[in-house]
Amino acid sequence: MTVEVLRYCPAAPNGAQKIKYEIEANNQTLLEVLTAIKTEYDATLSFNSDCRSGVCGSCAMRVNGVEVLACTYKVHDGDTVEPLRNMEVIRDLVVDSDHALAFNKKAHAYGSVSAVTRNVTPEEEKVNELQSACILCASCYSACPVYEVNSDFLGPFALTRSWRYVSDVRESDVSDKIATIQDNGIWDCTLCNECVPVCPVGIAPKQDIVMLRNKSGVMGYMDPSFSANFGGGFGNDGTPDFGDPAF
Amino acid sequence: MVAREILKELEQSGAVYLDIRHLGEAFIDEQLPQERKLAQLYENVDPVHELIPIKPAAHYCMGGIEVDAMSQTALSGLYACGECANHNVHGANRLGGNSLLEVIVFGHQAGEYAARYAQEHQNTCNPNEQFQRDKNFIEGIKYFTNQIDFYEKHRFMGNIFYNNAAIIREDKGLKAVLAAVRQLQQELPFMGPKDKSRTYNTNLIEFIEFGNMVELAEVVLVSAISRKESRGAHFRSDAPQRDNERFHAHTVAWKEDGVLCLDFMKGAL
Ligand SMILES: Cc1cc2nc3c(=O)[nH]c(=O)nc-3n(C[C@H](O)[C@H](O)[C@H](O)COP(=O)(O)OP(=O)(O)OC[C@H]3O[C@@H](n4cnc5c(N)ncnc54)[C@H](O)[C@@H]3O)c2cc1C
Ligand code: SF4
Ligand code: SF4
Repeated sequence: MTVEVLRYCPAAPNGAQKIKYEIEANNQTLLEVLTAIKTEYDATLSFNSDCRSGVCGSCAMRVNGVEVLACTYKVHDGDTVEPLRNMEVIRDLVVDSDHALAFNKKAHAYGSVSAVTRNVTPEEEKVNELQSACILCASCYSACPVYEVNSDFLGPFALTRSWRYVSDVRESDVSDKIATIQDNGIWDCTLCNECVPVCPVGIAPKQDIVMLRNKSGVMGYMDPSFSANFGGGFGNDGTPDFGDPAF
Repeated sequence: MVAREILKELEQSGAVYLDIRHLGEAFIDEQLPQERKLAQLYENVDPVHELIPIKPAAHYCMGGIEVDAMSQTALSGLYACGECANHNVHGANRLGGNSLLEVIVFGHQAGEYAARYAQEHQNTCNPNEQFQRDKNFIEGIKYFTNQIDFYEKHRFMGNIFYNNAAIIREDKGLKAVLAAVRQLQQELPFMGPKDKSRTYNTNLIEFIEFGNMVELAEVVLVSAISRKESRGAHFRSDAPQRDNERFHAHTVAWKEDGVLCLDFMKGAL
């Protein structure tokens, strides 16, 4: 079968190029195929991988425009393989994820110093068990269309991680975390759902963003575009303020 | 013990299966979701209804870089923790769950001491002999001739290790592998990376790792040959008993002027 790989090396003169590889594959993963190409035909083909079992998240890339983990995707004839989007390509299928990963810090998506130490019941653990399983593969980040217009958007995985901590029973005061995600955060998401089907562990970042919006609403924040459209924002009871009626 | 029996059965009948069907779907999904996913993905088998084909594999490396009670290595300012380090906590057989425990305990400790060291010392990156050797190696790589494919040798080494230096070991097999490894060490200059790029060169990284691998392989083999007893995961079919008199000790290996030295350190226990 034939597999096409979009290859790019900054030092090469002709930019990115699609290269076709004739391979023998039968029920093989994309990572197995890429490894075979690298170790048997072309040692310059560059990609990242580590655990080979869908756990570490380092081999995320796109096949026919959709984000996959190379180690869990079974290759088909005619597949086109490309690097993740919304990140600078370093070489071939390797992208620079530093900018993306920095959003976790910007979103304060980590345990607070003020968090209390106490036992967590199995039920309480369930609340954010799924969100805790994020492997930071950045598939959702690559699928998100917001980056076309806003490169400062905190993005799906950082917001999922924010919800993971906001919903943690040990976090006694989440006001700082909620304040941090108002700008370039939860309200910039278009709720388009693109991030949901590509997550290899079944996380739905969009859902978590909706949860953060609800939480923000309860804490007195509102959608800035809404308040801009309606002039005065919301009243204290949450109903839109249409300004003083003119009699 | 279990691994040895699985291996024996594999050699006899060609297949060994794990049956977890009695646990039921609800329990498997609750407690073993990843195992179910992996079996479905890589073996096309659903453990809720089918048997899982199994084979022993390494999932931890006992021993490691020698560290003191502050997680510092023999090189001051260099700290090691986790699987790569030897904190003298596991002995010859790490028990389940203890690796993640060690990562948390000694990771915390090493981080703290390393931060303190960095605060107290101006220049924390002194060029040393090893650094110079590594630098020379990288510089020298461009003269390596690339007549021998190191990926092929990597696969070869995996095979001979799995068959002779893994689950069941004996003197003759270990010595044969040692001879092969020493041969590979000699052949290294005839291998090399094919990719000459300076940008994200994974071919070069993999070659360097292969070089490290053949260096460490010698240490593993010489240790296994010297330890004429069986203990924990180290099983010698030609010396199946434990010999506390001679070997109730950690094996410590180091290099002097490039020559591998080995000793048994009873005090380390
Ligand atoms: C399949 C499997 C199941 C396991 N299950 C369990 C279990 O249930 N319980 C348990 O306690 N233990 C388990 N273990 C063991 C445990 O997972 C490991 O011992 C532990 O994760 C090791 O952690 P570490 O941080 O020491 O090393 P690693 O997690 O291996 O981290 C080393 C890091 O160094 C990076 N690295 C390597 N070279 C370089 C370089 N040159 N420059 C920069 N970075 C580099 C690597 O990319 C990697 O991220 C299991 C292991 C395996 C393989
Ligand atoms: S739902 Fe929101 S975060 Fe997810 S891809 Fe769409 S815009 Fe991005
Ligand atoms: S949320 Fe899912 S897709 Fe996004 S980084 Fe985490 S694991 Fe990957």
